[in-house]
Amino acid sequence: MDLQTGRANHIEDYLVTVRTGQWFGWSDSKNKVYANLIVHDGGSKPSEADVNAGLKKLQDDFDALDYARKRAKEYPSIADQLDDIYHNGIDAWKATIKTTKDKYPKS
Amino acid sequence: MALSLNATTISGLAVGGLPDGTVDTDTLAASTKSMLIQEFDMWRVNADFTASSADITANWERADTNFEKVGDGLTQSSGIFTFPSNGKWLVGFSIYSWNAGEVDYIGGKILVSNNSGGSYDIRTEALTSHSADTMSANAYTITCLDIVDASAMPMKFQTVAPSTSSFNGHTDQQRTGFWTMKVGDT
Repeated sequence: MDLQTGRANHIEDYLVTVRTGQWFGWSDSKNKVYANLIVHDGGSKPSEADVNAGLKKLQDDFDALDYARKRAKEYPSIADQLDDIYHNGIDAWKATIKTTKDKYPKS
Repeated sequence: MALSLNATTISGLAVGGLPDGTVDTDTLAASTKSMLIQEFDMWRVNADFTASSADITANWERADTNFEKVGDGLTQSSGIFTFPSNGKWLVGFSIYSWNAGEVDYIGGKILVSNNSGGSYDIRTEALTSHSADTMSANAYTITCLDIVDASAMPMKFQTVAPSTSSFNGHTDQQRTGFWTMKVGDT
């Protein structure tokens, strides 16, 4: 996972979603590729296709919410929004929020 | 005897009860060496995992990038660590969590047994707050253990989280793992 963005970037990011606990490991921890994936808990090993598809879905889901993350960073704080409503009314507040929503439309 | 000093020896020390004799480089070297760190070891978890509050039992490895243990080092089996000798041991444990936005906090514990692993007692615990906006979180704790019977006092580590959370392991970085150093005799 990218530490700065939180976007999945390795099959390990998908594997932790398959089962809880320390169910998997690596036969060569310096080379974390599917061929080196080992299972500790006696459960089934997901196929390489499933693992790759799982990682891609995580990435797609993350990318689909890009607009929401950008909006969240630009919205005024809750305190400021409440202050805006108190002083300027609901319509003015909605106009302020709409500015950010329009800047980052849902893709 | 008069004091004699040259490049390698000091001779003639006989003042205030000090034994008369010669302090040579071998003696000084041996004395200095006994003051150095005799034991230092570092271990980490090398794969990601999910857990709430549970023992960390798998994927432990001794740090092997820009590190080499000093002394005998600890032995490990399924997350149970045994000290190589009796003594006072400093232990520092860090635990790294990410993408755990659903939980309020994460943390870790160091536990030690006094009955050969029959039961374990918490010796230190650290928590750090976590929110939906937090990408990652790290908790760190340190303790000093007086290990009076190394074979009967194994050590283990646990995660802490109110519900299932993701923890990060790494094979080149010390994200979830511990270091330990012997600082004296018991």
